[in-house]
Amino acid sequence: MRDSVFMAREGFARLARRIAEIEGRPAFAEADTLSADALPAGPPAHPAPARHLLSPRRGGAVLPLGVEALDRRLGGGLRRNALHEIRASETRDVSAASGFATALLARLSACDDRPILIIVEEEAAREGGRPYGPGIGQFGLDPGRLIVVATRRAQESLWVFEEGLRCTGLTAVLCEIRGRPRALDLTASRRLALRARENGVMGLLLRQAGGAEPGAAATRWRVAPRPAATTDDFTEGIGRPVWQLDLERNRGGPSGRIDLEWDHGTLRFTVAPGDAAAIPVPDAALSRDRPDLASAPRPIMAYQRTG
Amino acid sequence: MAASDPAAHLRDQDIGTELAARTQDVIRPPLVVTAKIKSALRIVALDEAAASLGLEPGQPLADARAMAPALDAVDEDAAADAALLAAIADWAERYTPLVALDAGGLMLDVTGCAHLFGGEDALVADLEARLADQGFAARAAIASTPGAAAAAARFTTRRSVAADATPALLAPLPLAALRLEVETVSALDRVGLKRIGQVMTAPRAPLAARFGNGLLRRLDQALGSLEEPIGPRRPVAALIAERRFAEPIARAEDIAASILSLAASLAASLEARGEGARGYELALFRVDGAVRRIAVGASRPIRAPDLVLDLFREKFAGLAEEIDAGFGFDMVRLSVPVSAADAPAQVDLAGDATGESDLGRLIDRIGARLGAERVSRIAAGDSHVPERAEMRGGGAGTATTPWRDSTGDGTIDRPLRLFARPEPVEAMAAVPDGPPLRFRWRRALYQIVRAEGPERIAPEWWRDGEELSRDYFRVEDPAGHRFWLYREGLYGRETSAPRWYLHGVFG
Repeated sequence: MRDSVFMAREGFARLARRIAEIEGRPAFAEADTLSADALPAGPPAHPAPARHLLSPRRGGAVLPLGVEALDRRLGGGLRRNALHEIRASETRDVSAASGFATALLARLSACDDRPILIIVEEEAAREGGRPYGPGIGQFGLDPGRLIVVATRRAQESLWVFEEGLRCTGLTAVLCEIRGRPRALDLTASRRLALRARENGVMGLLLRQAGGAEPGAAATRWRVAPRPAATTDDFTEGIGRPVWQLDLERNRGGPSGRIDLEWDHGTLRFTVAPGDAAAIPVPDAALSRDRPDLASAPRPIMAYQRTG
Repeated sequence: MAASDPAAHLRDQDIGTELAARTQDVIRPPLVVTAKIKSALRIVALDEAAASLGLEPGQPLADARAMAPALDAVDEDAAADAALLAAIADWAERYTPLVALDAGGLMLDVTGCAHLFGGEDALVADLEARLADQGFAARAAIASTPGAAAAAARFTTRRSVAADATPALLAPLPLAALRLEVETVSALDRVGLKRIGQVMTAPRAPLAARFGNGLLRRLDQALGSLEEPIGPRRPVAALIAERRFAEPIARAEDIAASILSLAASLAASLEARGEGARGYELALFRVDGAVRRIAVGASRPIRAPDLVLDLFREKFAGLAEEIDAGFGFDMVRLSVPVSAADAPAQVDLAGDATGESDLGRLIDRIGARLGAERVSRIAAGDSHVPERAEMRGGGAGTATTPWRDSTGDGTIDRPLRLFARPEPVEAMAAVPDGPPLRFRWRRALYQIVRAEGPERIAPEWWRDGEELSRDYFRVEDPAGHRFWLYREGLYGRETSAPRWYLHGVFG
């Protein structure tokens, strides 16, 4: 009897995994929400296949951010084989959004040694500045790993983006799009997400002055800068970068909001010191797989500082 | 050129009148083309009707009008003539890749090509017939030297001259057939030397003393005892494969199929040489004589036919204007202008290719569609001036200079994004060298709550146009935006009113 119950549970878990696979979601996130708080937190371990030991470094299937509460929400981290959208609602916030994207790529490149493709539209570079090698290097990402493509129009950017996501020789593709070009509709977004899923190349869509539009991205983050928290230490310069990250959309779990600080020396995110008091997070059940529409911040839980 | 090398000379009879006749809506013969020579309008080219009236090149237009009042005269358009001749030269590359412009005509080196067309006579006949189809009246001749070919085409009706018949051919011709200077010809004429045969038998030393080396050089070149190189218009590719079609092709799939098969035959030659191509050039010869050339480059040596086709597909997709097939292409040529040694692809221990070839293919495709200069790598520049501290290297396939240790406890003192041109801002700062207190950028006012600096960067005096020192400040506003501002010029020493610029933003 005991045996059959175990078997049934096993069968159910397999089915859940299969469904998650079809939907392109990490299975453990499903389990996490199903069993609510009963299960121990933390992402299940992803044993790397043995051939990864022999072949060049490729990393796992997810990119953990290293902040436990956030990783749990994402189901272990950002999925590598997916499209992620990072947007800055104003042009002046582009630097912050670009900083967060660079930090993600820095963490990613630490466990994967293939190059990264960066697509910058001419107009985006004019309005928000072009990626600057020395600054990127200080941020923790080796500029020698970058291949930069300058495009003239959004159509060109999207074409290169899609081609890049099909290329197994790349770790990730970062594409900067300015405004709301007509070419970037839901269909285009779905195509990109599909390409990322097929080949396991991480797609980052950095939208300058872009709105919260529907898209096929697995996660969407709105990034705004925060005043630096660590300032008294002179070697830290004007302070470590801090961003307010608004996880507006999360296909694998609830959305939320958090302030993160980037340590470029150790390539680690930490919860910003001033943020530990109360982090407004919308109700998990309400916003699951939906854009975060709740504007009124409601304090529900607090993140522990783990750094 | 060795004496046995055949050279075909093609002379376009009066290319100027041809062009004028083509561009005039209503053609009323006789037609002459005039240009201002020696302060008079003179005939430079004329059609058959005009020639039959006794008009000749060099005649003043006024005289010609007196002889034939119903004369139609148009101005010479040298640029259009040259363009038309260049177009014909492009077309003539269907016979040989070595085509040179030669004093109003074309010189083709058809060494080793004639058998492809069924012999020398057949080649000349084919060339004349095709030009006649296009509406050109042309004369062509093949001889063993360029000089003899030019003489035969311009002064005889012979189509092909054997190597041992050259002296017999040249002997009765006027000296002008040797392509001499006009002054030399008239000087020779004054001493009674009118035919080439007279010069051939005359003692050489006095001729050289009196008329210079040019005369004997030209004579020796025409006879083949002195080599005369021709100057091809375009460099000859290392490898060429071509295909002719009895029935012209026009569909994109047919062109793609012929690219594939030509690339396959080139791949075999490249493989035999242990090389790969760093670029390909496709030439499409249209039935009506127009030639379209399309070139693609590769970041690494390639030879696989499907890769080559891929590159051309991207190139076609990225072309501004469609390829006009007209009535079809009757010849397709694929050539490899540059080749390089090709190393076998690196495969790791687990047998999993590193994806490098996939990446190279992606870079080539992007380069083919958007232009190779749009794909670059960021390399470290040897300068402390921010805009020169990084270099955008073309050729994404090449390795770049290593960057200094990117991770560490160093401060972040360089911005994540840099503006190509520093943007001027209005800033308030304490003189002489205090940090800015607030500034206005793109019409928005930013209060500064934290500032670090100055970091003084002196101009590189060894460069021209370097002007003033810059004091860089890293600043933060209450919302957390971080900027990189600099003051241009040292207060009091270099300028009395320093200006402020925003050069970059921090992440």
